[in-house]
Amino acid sequence: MNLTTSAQRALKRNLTLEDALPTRMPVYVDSVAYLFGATALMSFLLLVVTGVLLALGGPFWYHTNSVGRFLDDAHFWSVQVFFAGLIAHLATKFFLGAWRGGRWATWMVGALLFASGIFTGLTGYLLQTNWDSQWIATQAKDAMNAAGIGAIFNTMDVGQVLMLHAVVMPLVVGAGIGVHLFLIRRDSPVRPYED
Amino acid sequence: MNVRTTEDVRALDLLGAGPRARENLRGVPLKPYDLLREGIVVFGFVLILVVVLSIVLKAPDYPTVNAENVATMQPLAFVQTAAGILAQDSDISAVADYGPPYGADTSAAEHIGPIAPAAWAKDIFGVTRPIDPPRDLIIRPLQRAAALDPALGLAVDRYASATAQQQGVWLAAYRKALSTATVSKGDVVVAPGDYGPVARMMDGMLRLGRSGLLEGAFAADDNRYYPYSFDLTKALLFFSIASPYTDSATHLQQLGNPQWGIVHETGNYPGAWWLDAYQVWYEVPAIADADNADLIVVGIMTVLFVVLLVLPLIPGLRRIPHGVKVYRLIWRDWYRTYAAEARSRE
Repeated sequence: MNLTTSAQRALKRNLTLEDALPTRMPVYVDSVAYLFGATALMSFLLLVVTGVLLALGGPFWYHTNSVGRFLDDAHFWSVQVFFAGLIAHLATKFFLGAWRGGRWATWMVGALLFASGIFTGLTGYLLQTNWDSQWIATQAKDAMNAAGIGAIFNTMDVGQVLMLHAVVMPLVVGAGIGVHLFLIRRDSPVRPYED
Repeated sequence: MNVRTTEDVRALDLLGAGPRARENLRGVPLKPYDLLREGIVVFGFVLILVVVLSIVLKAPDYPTVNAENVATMQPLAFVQTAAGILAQDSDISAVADYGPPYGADTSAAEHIGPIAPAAWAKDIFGVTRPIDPPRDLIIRPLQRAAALDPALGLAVDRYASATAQQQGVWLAAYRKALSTATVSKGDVVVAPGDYGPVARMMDGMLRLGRSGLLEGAFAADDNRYYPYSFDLTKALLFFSIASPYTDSATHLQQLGNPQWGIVHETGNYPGAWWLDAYQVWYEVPAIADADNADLIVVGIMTVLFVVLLVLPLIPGLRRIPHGVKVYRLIWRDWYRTYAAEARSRE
């Protein structure tokens, strides 16, 4: 069996160029509600950009450097827009019953992405190395410990928090977004209900 | 949005689309679309919004509360905290009788009947963050400070070699005396009494805190790789439930916002509001007053998340959108213009 040939066949079967980069769209995709997901996605891109720029100076420089402060401010507001877009997207897809037509996997991956995004956001708040992170770390530890997660994740270990927030979780969320987008484009937008 | 006519959409077909899309979109009129342009427009919108918010509103960044702050601003509260930790008073010490992951005793670990994740995690991973509060948060930092103050070292030695009963008597007497203590030039003054070495030790803790070296003593303890240290557990737990921790954040209250927390950012900023659905359960008195409040809330949120995750598979719940009919608002053009035609084309 030629694995490359099999991969080519699978790709042709599941995601053509028109699927991946569509130039046509069903006419019912005609509402601002369809832009909430894109808003979350673009906020995520901005989070990556501001996050990488912040990472260049390490985890502490933005407290005292004006450029760093601006990047930190932008990272903060990108998170706010990200979750606004994400929750609006989730609500919209619920009200459209977007899991119909065999799209349950798309919904489930989206739900897992939502949870991953929340955990990433928590690690971000823990990573601020200021009063808020100090307070949140000591408050959030109790839920983590009660759930048994505290044995392997310590909200007060800023090194672990840093690696999770800057490396592990962006990769998890990025990969999840990739799978989510693949499923969305493979299956095309869900049809309206037959009333 | 592209301006289109019914003729425009009829002229487009599904050429190049994959089998799933062809199947799903059979009979559906199509419109011209530019994915990349839409992405760029949305990115531009988000970028402008974020830049404007960042320039106009900025974001909060209030300094931490550390031992030096508390020892300087509230020396009596600092000493009460240190004495409470030494006495293993769980009303003062965040880790006294806590259990996993700081200690092996699971009797105080949260559980709901037989469901005890903290105890299970201890059985699997062990005690991953061992902390003996009197030893790690009081005795060892004082032993380190004793290098600069031999008399302090003698006091610590005397305390450590005493029986637990004797230690308890000294501590009880000293903590009682603290209720009438005064502060003079930053020092805590207690009435004369038999406190053994405890008064000397607490004075040492206060001076260690005031010097700004207490957190360094925590970081160096049991750390062969010091000065490298990322684990702030001891430093953050020292005050985490004691009143000086919150009281010393007066600079925040002076900013007009005494309410902060996981979902409340300091200042007039939005916090992690997406955790409101989690945090709101702590507002329920029956939950908030429970010994296992955290586990109850974690359990509720776990169940809710699983429901969200498998919603497409749950009969009844998955039909809710069809019942509430919000979709008719989002797809109003479809129902008004195209639905009948699409049905006839299938």
